[in-house]
Amino acid sequence: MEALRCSVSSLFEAQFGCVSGATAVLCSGTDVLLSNGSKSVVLWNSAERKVTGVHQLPGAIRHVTSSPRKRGLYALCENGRIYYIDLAQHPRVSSSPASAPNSHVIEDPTACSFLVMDSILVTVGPADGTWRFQFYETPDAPGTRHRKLAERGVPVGPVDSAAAEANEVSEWPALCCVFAFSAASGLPEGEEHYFLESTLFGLLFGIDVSLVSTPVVVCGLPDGRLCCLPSLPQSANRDAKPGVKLLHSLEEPVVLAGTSSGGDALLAVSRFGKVLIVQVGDRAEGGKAPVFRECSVPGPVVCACIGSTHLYYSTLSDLLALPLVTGSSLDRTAQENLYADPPPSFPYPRSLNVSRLIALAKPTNTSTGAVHLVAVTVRGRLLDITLPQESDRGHVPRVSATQVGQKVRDLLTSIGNLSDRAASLKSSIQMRNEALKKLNQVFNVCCLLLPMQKGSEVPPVSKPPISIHFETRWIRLLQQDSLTLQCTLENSSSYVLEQGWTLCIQVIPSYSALNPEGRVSTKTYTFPLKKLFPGKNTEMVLPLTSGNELPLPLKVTSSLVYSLQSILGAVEAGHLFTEGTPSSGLTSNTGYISLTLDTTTVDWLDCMLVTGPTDENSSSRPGSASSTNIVRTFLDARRGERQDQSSSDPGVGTVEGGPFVATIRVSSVLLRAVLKGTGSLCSSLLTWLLSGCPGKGVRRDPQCSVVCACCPRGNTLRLMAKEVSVEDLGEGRPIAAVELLLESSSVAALCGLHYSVLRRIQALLKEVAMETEGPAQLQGRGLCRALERVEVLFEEIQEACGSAALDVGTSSGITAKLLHVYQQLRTNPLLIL
Amino acid sequence: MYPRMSFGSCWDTWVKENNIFVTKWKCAERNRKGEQQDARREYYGEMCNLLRRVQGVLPVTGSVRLELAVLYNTSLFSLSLSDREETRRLVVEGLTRVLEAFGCEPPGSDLLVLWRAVLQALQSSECLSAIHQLLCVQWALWLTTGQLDMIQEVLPSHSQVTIRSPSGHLPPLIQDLVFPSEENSSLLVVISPRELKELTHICTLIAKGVRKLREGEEAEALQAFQDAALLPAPRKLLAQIHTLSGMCLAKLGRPQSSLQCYRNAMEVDFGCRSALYQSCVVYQRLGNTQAEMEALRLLHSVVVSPTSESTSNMIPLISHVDLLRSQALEGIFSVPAPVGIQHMLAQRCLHSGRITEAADHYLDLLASFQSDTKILMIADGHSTLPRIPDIYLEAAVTMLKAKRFWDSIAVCEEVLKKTVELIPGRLVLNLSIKEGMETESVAPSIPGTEDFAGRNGEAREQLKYVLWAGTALLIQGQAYSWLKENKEAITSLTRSINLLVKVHFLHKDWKYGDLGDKEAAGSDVQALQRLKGLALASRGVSFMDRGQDSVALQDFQLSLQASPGFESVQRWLVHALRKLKREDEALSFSKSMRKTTSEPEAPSYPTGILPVLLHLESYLEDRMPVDSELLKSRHVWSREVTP
Repeated sequence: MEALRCSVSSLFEAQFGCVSGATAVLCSGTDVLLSNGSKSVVLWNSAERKVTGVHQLPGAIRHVTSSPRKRGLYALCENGRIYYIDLAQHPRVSSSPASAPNSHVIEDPTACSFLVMDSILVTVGPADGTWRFQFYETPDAPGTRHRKLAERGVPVGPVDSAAAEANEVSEWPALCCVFAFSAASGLPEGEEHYFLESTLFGLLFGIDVSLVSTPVVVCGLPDGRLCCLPSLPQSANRDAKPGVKLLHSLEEPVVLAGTSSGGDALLAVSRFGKVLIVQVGDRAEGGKAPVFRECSVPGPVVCACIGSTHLYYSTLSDLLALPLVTGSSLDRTAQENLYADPPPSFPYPRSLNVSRLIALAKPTNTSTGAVHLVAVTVRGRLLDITLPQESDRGHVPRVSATQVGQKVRDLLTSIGNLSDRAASLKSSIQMRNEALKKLNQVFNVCCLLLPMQKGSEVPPVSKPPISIHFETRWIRLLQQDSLTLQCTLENSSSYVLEQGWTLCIQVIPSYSALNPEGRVSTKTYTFPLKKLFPGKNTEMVLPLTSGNELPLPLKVTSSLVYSLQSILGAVEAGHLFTEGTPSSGLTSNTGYISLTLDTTTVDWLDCMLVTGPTDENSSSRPGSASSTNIVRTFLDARRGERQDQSSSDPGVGTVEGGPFVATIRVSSVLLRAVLKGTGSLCSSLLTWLLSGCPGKGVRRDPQCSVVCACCPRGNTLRLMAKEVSVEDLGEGRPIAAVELLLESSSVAALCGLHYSVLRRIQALLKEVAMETEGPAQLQGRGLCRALERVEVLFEEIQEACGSAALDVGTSSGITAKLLHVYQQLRTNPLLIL
Repeated sequence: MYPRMSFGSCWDTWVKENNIFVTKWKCAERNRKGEQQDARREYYGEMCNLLRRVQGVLPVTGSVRLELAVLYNTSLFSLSLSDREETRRLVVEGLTRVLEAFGCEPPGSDLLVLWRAVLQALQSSECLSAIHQLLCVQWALWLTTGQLDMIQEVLPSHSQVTIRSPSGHLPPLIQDLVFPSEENSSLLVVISPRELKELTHICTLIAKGVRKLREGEEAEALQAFQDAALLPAPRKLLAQIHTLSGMCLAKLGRPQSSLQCYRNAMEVDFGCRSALYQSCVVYQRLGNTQAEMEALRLLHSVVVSPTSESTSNMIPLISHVDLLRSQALEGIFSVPAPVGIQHMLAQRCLHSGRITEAADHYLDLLASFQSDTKILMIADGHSTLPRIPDIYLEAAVTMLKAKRFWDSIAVCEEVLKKTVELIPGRLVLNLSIKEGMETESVAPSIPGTEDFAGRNGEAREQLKYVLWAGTALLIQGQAYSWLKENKEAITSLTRSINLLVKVHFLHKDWKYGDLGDKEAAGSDVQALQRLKGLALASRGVSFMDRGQDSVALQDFQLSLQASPGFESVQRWLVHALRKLKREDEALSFSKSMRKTTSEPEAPSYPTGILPVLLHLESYLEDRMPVDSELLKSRHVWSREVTP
């Protein structure tokens, strides 16, 4: 198939898809009418190159036609009503008065297509087993109801009778209006108006019609029949109703009926590519007769129109031009050729290389001889197709070398432009894909971590797919020991933690570490992640000591944060940040996803530096501290904990004191239920307690029940565990227990340590409470004694408080008293069962 | 008054709603808004809503009257919207509920059984008139569906009513349906039941009459129409009844009575065109051309004048048009399109010798052919419009007779332009008597034309082309001859003859008389022969004018061969022989002529080319030279023949 190059320019893009069959484009003067099967008709003006009006109708439009006499249009809606819109009155109203539901001019529920002639409007539709044609008079005031004049019918063919009964016609009849050509009447105007030279007109439609200046309606039915009306009954059957004359049957739905521009041929095109050409032929015995020729062209024909020399039709995949035989009537040789197989003279359509056209308007010829075709694509784009000049067809156009050069240059430029556009489109698509991929990963990660977002501190039973693990470490830096927290983020999920995720660790000191403003000085560390693949982990270290301060215990929370800005590429995000207005949604605070990972507490037990089973310093001077020293040390310690004094006193916290002692007794049953280690209970308790300790490796002998350690400020600490039996509590028999003795030279260290140990045991108790049954029955007497003891201590505290309030006695006395009470409480603890 | 019960307040509301609604509707009707289907549909919807509410409660006797009134209104609306199925459903449902209210078991959904049961149950109830209202709706419904007998079947079981009416056409109950006057009722209705009853009654009679008329029992039909004419009816309907009576009378062979009926119809409703048209038909049959033309003129002026429908009275909710829709009265009352009437008028003028008037009418007709594009579109099946070329040729003859020769030539030229090209070089007609109607078939012509009217009709149509073109040329020839342009005349006539001889018949022994006059094809063949004779004779006359007597003689002889027994031609032949000094032959021919001449058949008007040819034949007489001898022979001939 020889291809033809034509230039295509897009005029206007409507924001809709088009319904095949209902889409129509009409040209009248500079106005282009576009209807796509929706409720609106768009008016595009080719002179102003813009949409000049959109007219809304009450129903989806099936067919639209411009009124030939006045500046108006008729539209048939799916509700079976035909509306008239006066464009002169409502040139650019978006919702014209015709949209009122009752402003129709004709109501004909069966109509599926119609045609407007000079003063008559013809509708056609299936009704009661016939294709019914109804004639209406178009009054001078076109907005008024149209009076019905007459009706005709042709029985439906066997093929579509079933469809017609159900009033569901997938193919609609194609109507056209044919005038007999005479020089006086001039050329008819209108999209569906054609003329035919009088001999053929008379031959086809009868001599009666040709003697009256009536135009003839030619209708191609969906069953392929081509019929015409009006037709007077012929003499043979004068009683018969004037009906519809059948001209021919194409046996396929007729898409277009019309005549060639010279008026020398009647044409019809069927859906699957049959083209009927009716011309006048000479009879062998003299006289004229109509000659019906059929040829096949590649189909399916979606829409077609007739130009001056060609029949143009679209197959959706291409626009084709079929040359029409011009010239006067066929001579005898041409007729003889009709029966040769295949007809040798029949032309073949040429491709114009324009695809996806769904509607074509009647082509117009410009003064230069070029053909303009206005067409609509499936997506609703209005195209102006300019075909090369008539003279160019058939032979290679002669152009000069410079012209060729210019053309090539033009082509190259346009190719360049196109490739640029393509590249930018490609990159934007890629960007979107990336963003979607990222979003997908983020979404999956969110789903994984969602069960942990409930806010409960209870660790989930199974290890989460993305987990963080903390470990404290002592490092020596610049001659100074400092405590660091090592965080290990482990990704055991099947998703990649993409760039854009940030690990966020918050360190919240305990209540004691208030800054001067009385606020908790929270520190937040963020670690942007580079891709963390499944099964990999990443480690981060952050300092816990700041200066000399280590406000224990510390609460450490960790979360994964994703900024939605990361979805966009770095470049785009950068643009947003630099150019984006503050109100931009992406740069506002809402563009974050935050997922909590884990929350832990770092306390003394996590920070101690285990030095070994024995400590030279502490063991050499057990109990050497005098009572005065105790007070001083305590005071120093208290002062040291206050930040305002800490900076002025560098020696604080390193002052030797003590030894202070505290005892914790835990029932062996309880411990045994939890600590399932081998060896003695004491050593396993110690091992368990020190599991988070940075220097636990120093404990060479795990069976040893004594541990010495060094606290962050250098004070020594000693933990001793021994098995005892408590006799006065149990009923009958003594209760086996483990006594944990804490000893330190610093009160502060002891306090912290005691607190830490108790916290662990508390957590332990929670676990045990779930696992074991209630504790053994206790002896009431023992409990009473313990209670009495505590009451005595309570009275002492009250007394001290009272004297402090009344300012009776020295402060040191009160302090000593309180310290005593403290020690009493710590050294004679209750047994934890 | 409407009984107040425990549901009183509710019912009061509904009664009020119904009344407000009816008042609103009547107002709309007066303002002529009620004629639009949309308005009716809207009111129907509202009424349906009310009915649904009323029927929402259990049926009790106390509410039956209210419910029946609302149902009556609703069903009238649905009937006016031609929603027959819905009306039927409404009635069935209403009746079932009435029976339930009176504690009876509904006997099913068969309308007849239901109605009998309801009428039985409510015999003595105060709701009887309400149920009779609904019965009228039912009656109207049966009328629209063409079930005329149903209403009679409802009633036999209802024996309570005494037979009063002498008319056997309708059950007495219907006649006796009495409704309280509207003022007494607190429940308003859209149409008073009495009006509805009367309308339905009259329409039933008409429907019955039309049915009889179609069955050919005109006497019974006439009886029905005369009964209907006694009842009060809208003017339009009354005019139609008179017209129908007239048609019956015309068929019964009482033309004067029928004319009286048509006159009555015209008096009642001047716009009754069918009465006027039917009187034309009667006048034509009576041969009263003068009166026929008067009537035609009147009809034409009525038809051409703008439609008077817009000024007519308002269309009621239910009109006789709705009720008689199933009877398809349009066919009976149809009147030819204006162009058809004008043609009839023109043709009558031509045939009755009013040539000037005829010429005017024909010129008007031809002008409207050129200007009015609708003519053929609206020429429907009942139109009597002949073939357009026939009209052209009639016009041309009229012009010829009116001595407007150039006009005549121009009109013929139009016909020639369209026809000559279509005539084949040789047309062979196979006239075989065996095949009956299918007497002609085309000898194998171009195979390609088989698709297009590849039937016998094509040859027949081509024969018509030949006839039209031949006649047109003949008229032209005669016109030129009158204009003393003998050369032109001879050319035209020669062309005509050349066309006519293209037609060949396969069965030589066939005679046109055998097929009978009704056969259209036969008349065409007959016309062809006659035309051939005429054309030859006309050419002979022209040759005589030029003094080419021997050629003329040949033509006359050929003419008599083609169309034997042509009296004027025979005389022309004698004349030619005499001019050629062949007195002996002339004398002997004159003698033989007397034997063969037969009385020419009386012209019958219908259409086709023959009446035109009859007019053209007079040319031969008119051109006959005033020759004492010829006249003498003519007198002799006529004297001998007349007794």
